[in-house]
Amino acid sequence: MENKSIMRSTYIFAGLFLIIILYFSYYLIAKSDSQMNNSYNKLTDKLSETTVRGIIYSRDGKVLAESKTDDEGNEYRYYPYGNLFCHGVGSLDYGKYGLEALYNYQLLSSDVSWISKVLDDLKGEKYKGNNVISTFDLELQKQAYDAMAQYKGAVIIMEADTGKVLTMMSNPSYNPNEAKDNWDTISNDENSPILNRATMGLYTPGSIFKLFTLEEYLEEGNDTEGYSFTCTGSVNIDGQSINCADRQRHGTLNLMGSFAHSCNGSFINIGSSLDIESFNKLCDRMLFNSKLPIDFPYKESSFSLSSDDNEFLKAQAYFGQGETLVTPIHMALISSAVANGGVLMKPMFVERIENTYGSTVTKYEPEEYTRLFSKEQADVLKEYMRSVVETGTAVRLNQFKNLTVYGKTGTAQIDNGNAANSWFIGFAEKDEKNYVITVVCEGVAKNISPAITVAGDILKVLD
Amino acid sequence: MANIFMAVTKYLNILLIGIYVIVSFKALKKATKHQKRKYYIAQNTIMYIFFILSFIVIYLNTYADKVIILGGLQIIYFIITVGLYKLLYPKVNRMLLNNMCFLVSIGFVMLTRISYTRAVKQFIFCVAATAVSLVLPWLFGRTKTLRKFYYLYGILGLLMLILVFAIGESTYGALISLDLGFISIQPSEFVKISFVLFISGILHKNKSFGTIVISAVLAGAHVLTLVISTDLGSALIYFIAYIFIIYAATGQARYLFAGLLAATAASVAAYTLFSHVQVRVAAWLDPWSIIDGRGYQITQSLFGIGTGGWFGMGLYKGNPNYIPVVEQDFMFSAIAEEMGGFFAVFLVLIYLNLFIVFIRVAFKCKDEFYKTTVFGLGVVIGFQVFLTIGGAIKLIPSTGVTLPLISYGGSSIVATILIFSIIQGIYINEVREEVPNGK
Ligand SMILES: [Zn+2]
Repeated sequence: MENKSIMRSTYIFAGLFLIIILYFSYYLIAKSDSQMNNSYNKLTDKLSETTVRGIIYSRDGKVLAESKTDDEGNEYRYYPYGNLFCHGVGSLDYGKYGLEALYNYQLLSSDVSWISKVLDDLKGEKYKGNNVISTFDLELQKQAYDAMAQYKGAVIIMEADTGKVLTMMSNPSYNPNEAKDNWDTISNDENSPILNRATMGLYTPGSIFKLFTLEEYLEEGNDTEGYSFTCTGSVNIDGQSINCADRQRHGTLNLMGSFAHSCNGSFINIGSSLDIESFNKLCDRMLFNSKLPIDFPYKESSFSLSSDDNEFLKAQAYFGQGETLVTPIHMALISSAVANGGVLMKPMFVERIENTYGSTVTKYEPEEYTRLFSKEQADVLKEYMRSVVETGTAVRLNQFKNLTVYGKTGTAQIDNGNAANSWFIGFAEKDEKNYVITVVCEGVAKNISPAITVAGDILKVLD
Repeated sequence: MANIFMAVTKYLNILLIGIYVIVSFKALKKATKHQKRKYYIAQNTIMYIFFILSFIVIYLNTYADKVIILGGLQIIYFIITVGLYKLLYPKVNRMLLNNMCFLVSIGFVMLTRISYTRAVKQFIFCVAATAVSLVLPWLFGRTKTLRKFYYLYGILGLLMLILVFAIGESTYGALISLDLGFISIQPSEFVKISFVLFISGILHKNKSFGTIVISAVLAGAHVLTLVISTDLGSALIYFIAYIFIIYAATGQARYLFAGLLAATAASVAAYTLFSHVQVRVAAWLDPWSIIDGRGYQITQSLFGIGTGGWFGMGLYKGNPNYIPVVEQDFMFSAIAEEMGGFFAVFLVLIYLNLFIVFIRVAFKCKDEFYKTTVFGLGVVIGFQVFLTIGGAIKLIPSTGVTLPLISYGGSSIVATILIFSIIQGIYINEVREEVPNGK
């Protein structure tokens, strides 16, 4: 035996042990925290035995959820605003979709110095969990809630440049404070108040989809200046007639006019010139049939069109009827990219995590997700969306002192044309800041467009 | 009051094992007999305090009298083991003995917390193995013929492994155990020993290239049998032990490099050939995407480690049983989860200390055969520790090997205690310590 090689072997093994210690430390210091918040981590429930769950705040420091102790010493969760945040903040035991579920581990972790933990241990007290400061804005959320009082549907408001979600509401809602006692009633309610329509609701888009048809038309390099179409109120496709909204005759329209007035006939005409394969590609790029960058549970929007489809189906697809389905959050992301010069920011729901003494544990920074449009493309779309408010279907929103509103409306026929989903997607510009607003009101009478009114009511707060 | 006691114990245990590590590394340095005795007493004292505190916590959480009885018996076991070794063998290597006892005591605590019945079984195996291990050094002193039968070790060991492959029982998809009716044993744990004895024996005769080729063929046969039995962890341990022994025996680095190269090639081949290897690698690369299936075990292990943090959740404040097969493959994670990351790091340092003690003994052996044997067994234990901990923390793919002296498993604990007693026997009979005279 060679002593030299025994020594070298010893160093090699000491090195292996050292690697274990280093990797283990690296894992605990740098990596583990981000992985622990997982529904498969059943130990999280164990943490509640040693830690008092932290508080969830609105961005301006209002308590949205806190832990209280009843007379018998049992901890329970209290939501001061009742129904208001039942989908965004969620609830602890039920409807586990909100921040309560997504930040479960952070709320049950206590990132205070180990000395104060030891002191808590010695005093026989529970550790105090971290607090979550959300991006939700109480006033806006309230306004959205009130404006939507008579409608089923959803509202999302976010900042385009940061992706911060200021409002996410879904109607009908439930009161999480009463969830424990009424869970059977709530969960069996046929209006499904538990469902977060903002991310989980799949709706026929109707005319808001014309945004994509328009973008494809522009990207294929078609003639925009010389475009002209004369609308007679209806077109005939394979023996079936398709009307414009309220059987309106739009007369002769250029491209921007077609978009602003949402002329179905003109968009069928535009659509028929498109390369269907390329259109599918565009929609895939626009996050149809694809994952979205959000942590909340959501449904994927769906679009597919084949050149083998019959002409009627194709015609419907160009103005958002037919088989296409979208979620409000998806539409919010598209308008936010337009507002933000083409760049889509990852939606943020939490600004930071603080320990119980208020020092920051984790600060979340706005994060670019992807570029959906070039700067030029985004500017062109912006112009078209502005025309909708200036001269088109959303002129009601051209009334603000400090806000410049951009958007697209939609009235999607559902239920064989007996009812409609009313949409408004767009954004309001104020001092170079863009507030993205998405409203959908489902199952309304087909001759009204409440989404525009709702959007107007909410935007008042920002004006 | 009970709660406060439990909380304090959590921190005390970390402090205790920390001091244990410091003492153990100090004891490696040159010191007088008197000083060394002080270190040894400190090591044992720490073990007893740690053990008693932990068992009080276990009792406070279960209020089961049987726990007190088991704990009491285990303390008696430690007292008798340490006492008898000192009495029968005044030259006993205390570092080896104390480290062994401390690791066993950590295993007892964690196992009792995870499953009382398993802890009892483990204890019985431990007592039986220790009884044998007390006689082994004496037997060693009487026989010089051990080395003569090296071909027998090589061939018998290989036959045992082939037997397992042919008629073995499948455990979690791996063919590793033989059911003897009244007991189920895992031969690969014991064949480790005969394997090292075989290589040491054949190299002892001569180190010509021809001999090395013959040894490589037999070693390769061992490894291959283990691979097709899907006992990958053992296959790796045998392989690594073999190339390190050849390297240390010949002093030629090319054997080490050739061996590691062959290991890489063999791993690639195993990956392309066997689906169970691919599954393990997939579970290692991205367990999060298959958290429902093959990624479940490793992610549960990471949840334990991460949720436990540096100070641990405290005994009974976590739930190691969420990790499938925790008592065999993931004891390290269970310890990190409840006793804390600091405790776990100190535990790794104790294994390192132990490895250095092994190598020290190897260094001091004048006899080539014994020297190679001790070195080989040291590499076996050391690499096993690396595999199991590395697997638990997702540094490397999990291979399902046990944490020596801590994990549950009759064959594992018995084989490991036998390895310790072989090294102890060689030390007691072969090594003349030069101790600087104290005052
Ligand atoms: Zn028209």
